[in-house]
Amino acid sequence: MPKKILIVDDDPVIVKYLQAVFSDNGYATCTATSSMEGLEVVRREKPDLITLDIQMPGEWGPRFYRKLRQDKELKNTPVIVISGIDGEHAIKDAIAFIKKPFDPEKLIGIIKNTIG
Amino acid sequence: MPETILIVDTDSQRMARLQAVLSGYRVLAAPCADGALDALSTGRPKVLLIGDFLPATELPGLVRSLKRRCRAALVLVLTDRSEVMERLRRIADGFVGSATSPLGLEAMVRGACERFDLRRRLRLQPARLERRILKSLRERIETERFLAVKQIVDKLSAFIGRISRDVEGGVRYFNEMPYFVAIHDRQARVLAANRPYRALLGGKAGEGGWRIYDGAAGEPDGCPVSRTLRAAEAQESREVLRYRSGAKVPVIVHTAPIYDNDGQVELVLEIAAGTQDIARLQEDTRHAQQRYHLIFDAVPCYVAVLDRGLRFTANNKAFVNEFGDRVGSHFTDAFPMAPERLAASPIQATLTQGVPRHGEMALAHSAGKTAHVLVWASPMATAAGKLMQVLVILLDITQIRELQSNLATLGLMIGSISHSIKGVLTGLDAGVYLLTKGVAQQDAARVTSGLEIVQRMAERIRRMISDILLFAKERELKREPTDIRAFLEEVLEIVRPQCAAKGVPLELDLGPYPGCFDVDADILRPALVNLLENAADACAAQATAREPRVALRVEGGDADVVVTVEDNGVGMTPEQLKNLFTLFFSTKGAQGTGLGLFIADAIVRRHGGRIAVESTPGLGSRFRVSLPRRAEVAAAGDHDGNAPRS
Repeated sequence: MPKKILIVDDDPVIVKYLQAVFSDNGYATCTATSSMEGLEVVRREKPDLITLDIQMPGEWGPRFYRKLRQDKELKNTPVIVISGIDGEHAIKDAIAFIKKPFDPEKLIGIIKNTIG
Repeated sequence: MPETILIVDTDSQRMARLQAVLSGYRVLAAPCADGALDALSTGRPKVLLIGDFLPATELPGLVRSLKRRCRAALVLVLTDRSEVMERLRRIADGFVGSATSPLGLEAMVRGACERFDLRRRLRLQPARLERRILKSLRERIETERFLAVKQIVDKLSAFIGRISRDVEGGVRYFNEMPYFVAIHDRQARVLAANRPYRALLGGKAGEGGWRIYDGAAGEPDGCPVSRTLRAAEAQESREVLRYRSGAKVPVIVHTAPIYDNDGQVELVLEIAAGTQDIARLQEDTRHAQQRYHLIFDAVPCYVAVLDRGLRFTANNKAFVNEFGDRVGSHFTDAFPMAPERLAASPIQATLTQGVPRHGEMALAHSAGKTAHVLVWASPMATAAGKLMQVLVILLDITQIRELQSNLATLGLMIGSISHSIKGVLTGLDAGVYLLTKGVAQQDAARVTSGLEIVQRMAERIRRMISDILLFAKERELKREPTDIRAFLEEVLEIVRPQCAAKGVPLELDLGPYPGCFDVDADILRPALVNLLENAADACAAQATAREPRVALRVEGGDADVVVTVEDNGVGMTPEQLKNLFTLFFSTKGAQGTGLGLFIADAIVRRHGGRIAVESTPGLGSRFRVSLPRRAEVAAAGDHDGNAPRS
């Protein structure tokens, strides 16, 4: 059974891009275009890893992240921040910060090291 | 055992005062003449202090009758009245005036007691007469000298005050001025003189006081001291002094008599101060004031002084050139502003708190101009610390402010654009990735979607660049009569391909022939294109099954032409509507630059028009652009659309 990655990003192009990159490397994916939707999908799909954009319409990434960490069952899910703005201060213990535009090889490298 | 003294006086206040001063004596108090006779028979006083409670003609009779009862006693009369002194001169042993100090009084009484003892002893022991007289006289001279010094000090301080008042500008000149002080005897000979007198005028003790003067005052009878001796009162005159060096110096001379205990002029105090020195000091002050005024006017900022009522009391040259001479008028007459803004200003803060304050103010003044100024306000207080006025320095930073605002906007724009560019680059990466992999895997669907993304990104880049160019383009409007129908058809031509790509049909409703309007078509066109693109985006973003629709309508009135762009897209929340025309606000997340509507609004406002927006979330939006048909009408309400918003 392949590991599952949740992609949270409001830009459909980025979502499509990440989906393609992850499936090409043998991962299953699920997607959300907002924080609220992201939380629902996390609870339903129980992904092994989450990629998170910081700047989205409505609720921003950090809000999603705080709610995620409040949930006992989900709080250990690793999070990679992929964003156009600096997110180091907004999200403290993400396993990596990837700045847009990014190198897909490097992203895959980090994911392999984290969830195999 | 203390000496006995009898006080005869009907003035109870004076009686009480004397008793307090003479507490070291046994004092018998008689409140009337009859009481005095009784007291004399019992107390045997050495000194009688008699008040002037009877008319001057009757007092000598009282004094004589008292003296008959007690021959050795000495009589001191308490009076300031000259006719009393005149009548009692041969009978009384001395006079005590109301100005006599407690110390002086005490000395006089002690002296009188000693004379009483001396008289008695003279009668008892004639052999030792000479020695006793000499000793007693020496003591008496000591006492008198003490009193004289006391008087001199009093007179001097009074005169210093008077002289300094005579000199315009008051005391401050006094300490800087060489002045000559001398004390003369009854023959107008110098007894003592201060150091400048001795050094410059060469006066020696015993020399005639007239010798220092030139002209008539240089004669023994003509000098101020002699005149004072004759008149027995203070004199003031202008004279010319002859310095030892031969130089002649104009002076103001004040002289004052110093009286002995019998009311006779005994000494004359003379004080002379150089009028040239006074004139020189006044000249110096005038120069200094001129210099300060030159500096006041030369300062390259606006300087004004306001009184406690916020009225101008002084304006410097720069201030007058820019804002006019406002002396006498209120601050808000020169710079109209709301009371709460004035209350929050540094000027008011300084006035209230008495401490320097600074800050920024926008001052509207003549011809509708507004000056952005840095304001420094400083309290101007009296020596006692009472705030009298506020000094206000204004530095014009209007141009700096504008530049700053432009720079801030530019900085914001670069930040916003770099964020958009990152999104576009990532999107291009995505498209290229899907294309490359799709080709390699021979996956047609992937190739198609990769190509779509690349096309979409190319469109986004085009939009971004046209926004930036539009923003950067700042030129005078060239308004020309333009056919509305032809203009709108051009606009539609531009957006039609994009709308078609998004599957959004465009409707054009021109109504009856709308005619022409005066616009700068090259500038207005992108604004309408922007509105239509937004409408198409809003339709594309809505997820319901309803048929998307964008409509462009025109209503041509006489004065205004209203162009309406309507869509049935996602709509906007009230919160979004509020920020709609704000620079870099975008409802499209990373896909918008936040420039489009800001610029569209600015363009319409430059044409003298406005954009009104109605929107319902989930149902759609309507943008109504109203533009004046004629340029002249527009000019009256013209705004500079590129002015910074604050």
